[in-house]
Amino acid sequence: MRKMFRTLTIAIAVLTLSGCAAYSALEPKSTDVGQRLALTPDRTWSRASAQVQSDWAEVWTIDGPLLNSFRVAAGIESGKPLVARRGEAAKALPVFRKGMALEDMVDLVQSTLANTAGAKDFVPISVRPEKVAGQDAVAFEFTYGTGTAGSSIETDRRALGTAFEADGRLYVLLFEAAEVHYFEKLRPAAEAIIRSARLTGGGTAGKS
Amino acid sequence: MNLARRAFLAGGCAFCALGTVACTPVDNSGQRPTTGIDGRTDLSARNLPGMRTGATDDDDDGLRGSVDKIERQIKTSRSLVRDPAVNAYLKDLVGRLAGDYAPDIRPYLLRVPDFNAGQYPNGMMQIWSGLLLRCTDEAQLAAVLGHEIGHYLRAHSREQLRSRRQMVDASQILAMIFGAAGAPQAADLTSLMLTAAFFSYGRDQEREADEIGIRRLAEIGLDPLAASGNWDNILAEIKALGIDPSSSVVFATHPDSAERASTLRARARELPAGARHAQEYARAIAAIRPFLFDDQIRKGQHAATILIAGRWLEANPNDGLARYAKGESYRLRAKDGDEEAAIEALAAALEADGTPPTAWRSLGSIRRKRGETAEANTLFREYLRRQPNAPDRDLIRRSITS
Repeated sequence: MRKMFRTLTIAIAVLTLSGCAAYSALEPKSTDVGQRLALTPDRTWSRASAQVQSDWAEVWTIDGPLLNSFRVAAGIESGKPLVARRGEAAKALPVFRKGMALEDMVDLVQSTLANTAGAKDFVPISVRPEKVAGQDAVAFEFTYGTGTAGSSIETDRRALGTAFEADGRLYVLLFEAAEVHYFEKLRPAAEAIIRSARLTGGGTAGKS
Repeated sequence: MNLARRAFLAGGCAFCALGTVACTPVDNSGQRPTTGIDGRTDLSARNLPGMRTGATDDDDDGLRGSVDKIERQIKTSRSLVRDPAVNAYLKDLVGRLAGDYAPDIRPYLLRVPDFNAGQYPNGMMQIWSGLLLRCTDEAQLAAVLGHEIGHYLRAHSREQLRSRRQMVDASQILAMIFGAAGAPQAADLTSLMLTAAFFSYGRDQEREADEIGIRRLAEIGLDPLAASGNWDNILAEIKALGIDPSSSVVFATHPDSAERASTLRARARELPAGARHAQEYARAIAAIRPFLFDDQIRKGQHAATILIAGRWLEANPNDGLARYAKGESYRLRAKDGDEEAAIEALAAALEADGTPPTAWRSLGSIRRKRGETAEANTLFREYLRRQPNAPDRDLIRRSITS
C-alpha cells in the first residue's frame, strides 16, 4: 500500500509539473509563426506547447482549449494536410492543393476538424471574400458539434476564421469555442488577431 | 419482473463499437424451440430461449442506470436525426425483425458518418447515419440490424460484462469510456474503438448473432445474401482507402470477417431467396440522403465516397446525388486524372435527377481553374439561381465579376 501511495504521489507530481510546462504566456506583441506569418494579439493568450498538442503549428487559448482556442496553420505545402499526423491517421486527412478555390478551403478546414476533433453537424453561417495579410482570402463562420451522442459532454461549438493561399502555400487562422458564452466573449480578440496578420515571407514552413 | 428489466437483463450488443455489453445464452425455460422455415430451429422471437430467463442481479442496477442516462442524453443530442419519415421507417423495419419483442427495442438514428449500429441492453438501439449511406437496399440494412437484434435476443452481454466487472464496477467503466468518447478534442473513432474493444463479443456469440440475423432476414421475406454482401462492401471500402483493417472500428471488433462472409454466403443459399427492396429503401431515406453524402464527402475519404456513390449508381444510374458525390470526390482528391473524372461525373450529374445545386458550383470551380471563364460563370450563375441564399453567395458573385 505504501509503495502504491508513493508511486501515485510521484505520478501526480510529474503530471502537475509537466502541466506547468504545457502552456506559456503569449504577450500582446508581434508573434512569428513558422517564419512566414506574424500575428499580434490584443491581449495575453496562453500558448500550448508541443507536449499538449502537436497537430497545429500554433494553438492559443484563454480559458483552455476545451472552451476556446485560436489555431494557426502557416505555409502548408500542396499535397499536405493542415495538421501534422503520422501513420494511418495521416492517410485519412484531407490535403491542400495549390490553386484550391477559396470556397474549398472552408471544406478543408471542416474536414480537418471532423477527422481530428470529432467535429460533426456543420452548419454554415457565412462564407465571404475578404483581404487578409494583403491576400484574397475567404472569411468563414460556422457552428458544429463535438463529442459522442449520449455522452454528458457533447458540446455545441462555433468557429470563425480565414484561409488564403500565398506563393502556393496555404494559411489558415481558426478561432473555435464553446458556442455558449465563450465564442462571443472572445470574438473581438480573435478578429483582432486575424486583422493583424501579415506575411513575413521566406524561411521554412511551420509544422505541415 | 417488469418488461423493461427483463429486456435489460437479456442484454444487448453491438455490430461493433457503440454498443455494449455482451451476454451469454441463457435457457432456464426448459422450452424446446420449434421448427422453422427450413427445418431448423424457429428463431421467431417468441421461441428464442434467451428471452425466457428469469435471472436477476441487483448489481445490474448500476449498469442499467448508466445506459438509461445515455439514452436520456441521446434524446436531446444534436446528433439525433429527427426526420419523422425516416424514423417511422426504421421503427417499422426493426419491428419486423424483432417480431414479438419489437416493443422492447427503441431505434435512434444518429448523425455519425461511419458504418455502425449498436444495441444496448436496456433496449436502446443506435443506428449511425453512415450505415444508411452504405446500404443501398432494405435487405442490407436489415442484415446489420438483425445481427444486432440477435445479440440482444440471445442475451449476449452478461458474461462479458461480469468478467470485466471483477476489475471495476460496470457503471464506472461506462462513465469512463463514454466520458472519454465525448471529450470535445478527442477523435471520436479512437475512443469508440476503445469502447468497442472493451465490449467485443466472442467468436461463438458473433456466429450466433449472424445466424439469428440471417434467419430473421429470410423470415420477413428479405434476401439473406445481403448479409455477406455487407462484409464484401466494407472490405472493399477499407481496401480502397489503403488503410490497415485493424484500424477500422468494424474490423477491430469483428475479426475473421472474410470467414464470416463466406459462412454467411453459404448459409444464405440454404434459405429461401427474398426481396432487396431497393426502391422502397431509397424512397424511405430520400429526405436525409443529401446530408448522408455531404457528411461522407466532408470526411475527406474520397476513395470510399467514390466507391459508395458507385454502388448507388449501380442501383440507379440517374441518381444525381450519387453522381455529384462521385464527381465532387474526384475534384477534391485532385490526383492525376481526377479532374477529367470529376468533369465527366459532374456533367452527368447536371443531367440527372435530384442533383444538389452545389454540383453547378463544383463544375464551375473546375472550369474557372482551367481558364474556361465563360463556362464557369454560366455554371456559377446557375448555382446562385438554384440556391439564391447560398452561404457563399458573395464569394461566388465576386468570382463571376472578377
